[in-house]
Amino acid sequence: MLSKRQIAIYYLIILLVATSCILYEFTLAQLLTAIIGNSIVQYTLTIGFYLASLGLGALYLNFFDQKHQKEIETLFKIELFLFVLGGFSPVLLLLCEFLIRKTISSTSEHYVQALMFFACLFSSIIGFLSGLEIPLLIKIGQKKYSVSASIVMGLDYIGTFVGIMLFSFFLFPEYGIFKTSAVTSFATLIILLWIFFFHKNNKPTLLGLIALAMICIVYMFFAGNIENLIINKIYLAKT
Amino acid sequence: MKTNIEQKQLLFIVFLTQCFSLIFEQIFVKNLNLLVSDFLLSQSLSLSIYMLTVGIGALLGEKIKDEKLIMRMLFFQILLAIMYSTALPITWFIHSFVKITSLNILAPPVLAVEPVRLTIMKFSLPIIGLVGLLTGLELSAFLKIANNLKGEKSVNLVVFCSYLGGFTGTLFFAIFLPYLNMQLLLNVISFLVLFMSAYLYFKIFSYTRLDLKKASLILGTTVLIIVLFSYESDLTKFHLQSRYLQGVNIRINSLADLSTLSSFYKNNLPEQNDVIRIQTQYQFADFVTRPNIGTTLYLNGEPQLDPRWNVSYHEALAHIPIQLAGQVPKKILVLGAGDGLLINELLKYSTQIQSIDLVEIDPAIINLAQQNRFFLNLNKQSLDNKIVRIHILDALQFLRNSQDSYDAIYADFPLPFDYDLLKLYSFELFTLIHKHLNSNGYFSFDSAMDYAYLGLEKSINKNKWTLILRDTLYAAGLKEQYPFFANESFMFVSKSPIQINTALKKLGADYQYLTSDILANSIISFKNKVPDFYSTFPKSENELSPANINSIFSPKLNYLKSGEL
Repeated sequence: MLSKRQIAIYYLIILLVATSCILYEFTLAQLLTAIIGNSIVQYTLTIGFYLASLGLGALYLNFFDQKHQKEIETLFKIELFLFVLGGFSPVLLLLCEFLIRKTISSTSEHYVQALMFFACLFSSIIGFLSGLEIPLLIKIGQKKYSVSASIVMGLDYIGTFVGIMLFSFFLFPEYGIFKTSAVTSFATLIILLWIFFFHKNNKPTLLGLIALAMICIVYMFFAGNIENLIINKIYLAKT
Repeated sequence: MKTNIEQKQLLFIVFLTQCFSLIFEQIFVKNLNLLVSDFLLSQSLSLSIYMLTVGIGALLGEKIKDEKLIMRMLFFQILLAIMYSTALPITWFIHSFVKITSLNILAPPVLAVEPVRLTIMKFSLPIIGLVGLLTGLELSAFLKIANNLKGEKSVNLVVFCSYLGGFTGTLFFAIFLPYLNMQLLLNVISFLVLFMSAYLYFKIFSYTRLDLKKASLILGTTVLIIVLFSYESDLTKFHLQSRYLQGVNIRINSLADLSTLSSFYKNNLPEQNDVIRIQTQYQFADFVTRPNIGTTLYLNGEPQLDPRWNVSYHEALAHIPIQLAGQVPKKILVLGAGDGLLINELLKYSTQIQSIDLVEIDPAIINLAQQNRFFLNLNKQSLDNKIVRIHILDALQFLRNSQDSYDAIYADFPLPFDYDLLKLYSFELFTLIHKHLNSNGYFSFDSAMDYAYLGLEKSINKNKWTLILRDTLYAAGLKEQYPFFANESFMFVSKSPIQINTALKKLGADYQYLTSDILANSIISFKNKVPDFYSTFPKSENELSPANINSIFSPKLNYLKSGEL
C-alpha cells in the first residue's frame, strides 16, 4: 500500500520534470538572445522547436519503441542524458559559436543561421527527451501509483507554468544564464535521486549519482567563475 | 459518440487549431510588449498563463461527458474566432482607457508608470487565459473524437499534430510576422476558424442545415469580423493616437464622466497628434506629429528624435567629448545612430576627419535616413558623405570581427529598458570597445544616468544604474571616466589618463547649442549631482562586486521604465 507521502513526492517529481525542461529551454533561448539579440524571434523559435520535439518524443514512444516495459530504467537514462545535455547546453552552444566563428565570420549571414541550427538542435533534443518523459511518467503513475493520465498532464502544464515564472522573475534576473542552468541540473539530479531511492537501488548507480552531485555542486558554486572564463576565453576570444 | 469525420480531416483540423492558437499567443505577446515595453514580463506572463489554461481546459474537458463536449465544439470555435479578432482592439482600448482616465493620475505621471503597466497587464491577461482554456477544451474534444475513430493510433496522432501545429505556428510567426499586419492576420485567422467550425459542425453531426440559434451565432460572428476587417485601419489609428497622447487626464468618478471620455475620443483625439507607423524587421518606427511641437520619432514606443532636443542632444554628444579631449579625432566609429544626426554633427569637422564607420543593425533605418524627407531635413544627407562607411550589423558582432582601431568611438543606443537592450551597455561590449580604441582614444555615449522625471538621486547606491554602468566600464578596463551633464547625462571615457579641457576651443565647427558655459559646467554639474560617483570610485578590480557588472550572460536590469506608455 502506497503512503500519501509517496504519492505526493511522485506529484512533486512530475512538477520538477516539467519545470526543469522549460528552464533548460528558456536558458537556451536567453543565451541565443544574448549572442544574436532579438528575443522575440529566439524565444519563439526555441519554444516552437521544443513543442514539435515534445510531440515527436511522445509519438516515438507510442509508435516505434515497443520495448518500453522497463519505464523506470528508461526514465533514469533520459534524466541522465538531460542532466548532461540540458545542464551544459549553454556551454556547449557557446563552444559551437566559437567553432562557427572560426569557420565563418560572425558578420556573415550564415553565422546566425548556423548558430540557430545548433540552438534549435539542442532545443529539439531536450524537447524530444521531455516528450519521452511524460508518457513514461504516465505509465509509472498508472502502474505504481494509480494516478490517471489527466493528472500527470495537468501537473505537467502547471510545472511548465512554475518554470516560466521562476525563470523570468527569480532565476535569470538573480543568477544569470550559467547559474540558472546549474540550478536546473540540480533539479534533474533530484529526479535521478528519486528514481534511485524509490525504484532502482544498486551500488554502482549510487556511486555514479554521488559523482554527478559533486559535479552539480561544483557547477553551482563556481558558475560565476565559469561565466568569466567563458566570456574571456570563448566569447571574447579572437578566432 | 459516433462522428462522420475521417482521421485525416480530424488531424488537419487539430493541426490548424493549434497552429492558429500559437500564432495568436505570439502576436498577443508582441502586442503586449509594445504596450508595456517589457518583453520578458509580457512573454513570461502570457506564455505561462496560456500553458496553464490549456492544461486546465484539457482537464476540464475530461470532466465533461463526451457527447456534451463534442456538441459544444461549435461554440468553442466561434468564441475563439471572436477572441482572435477582438483581442488586440480590446487591449488597445484598455491601454487607452488606463492612460487617459484616473487610473493614470493616482500618482504623478511618472510614478504612475508602474501601476499603468500592471493595470494594462491585469486587464489584458484574462484574454490569453480564455484563449488557452478554449484551446485546451478543444484539444480534449478532439481526443474524444479520435478515441471513437478506427485505428489505435488516432489519439497519439492527435497529440502529435497538436504539437506540430504549435511548432508551425511559432515558425510562421518568427519568419513572417515582421512583414505582416498583426490585426489583419488575426482577422484572416478568425475567418478560417469560423469556416472550420462550420465544416466540423456539418461533418461531425451530418447536419444539412443550421438551427436558428446556431445560424445567428455564426452570422453575428461573421458580421463582427467583417466590421473589424473594414475598420482595421481606423482602429489602428485610434490606438496609435492614444498611445502617443500627452498630458490628457480625464477622471472617471461617475458614469456621467464616461460621456466626457467618449466626447474626447470623438472630438479631441484626432487633433492631438497624427501618427504614421513604419514596420521594419527589428522595430516599429512611429512618426508622431503634434501641433506646436513638430514630428517626434519613436522606435518601439521609445522617443528617438524630438524637435525639442534634437540639436542640444546631438551637439552635446558629438562636440563635448571632442572639446574635453581638446582635439578632433581622425578615425571615428559610431555605433547605432543610423538616423544620421550624430554623423551630421561630426561632419562639421569633415576636413579633419579621415573616416567614420557607422554600424547600424536595422537596414530600414538607414534607408529612411537616406531617403525620407523628415530624416534628410535633420541629417542633411550626412550618410551620403564619402568619408562615411555604413555597416549593417549588430554592434557586438562588428566589434568582435573588426581589426580596426579608432581615435573615438561613439554610441547612440536606445535606453536599456529591457534585457535585449542591456547588451548594448554590457561588460562584453565595453571590453571590445576598450580593445578597439587607440591608446589616446576615447569613448562617449548617452549614459542614461539621469531620470529627467525622477530627478537624479545624489547617492549612487540609490541610483543603481549609475553604479552598474560605472563598475561595468571599470571592469572592462575603461577606468578614466568623466560623466558630464548637458540637458541629459552622457559619459566620456578615455583609454589613458588625459588632461581634460573645459575651455571652449575653436576647432573649426559652429555650434548652435554648445557654449563655453555649458562646456565648463558639463562635468562640474554632474559632480554636484552625484558626488558619490567619485567618492566611492573603485580603486582596483578587487573592489568590484559581480552584482554590479552587467554582462550579456547575467544582465542587470535596473533602469527605470519609460515615462511614455
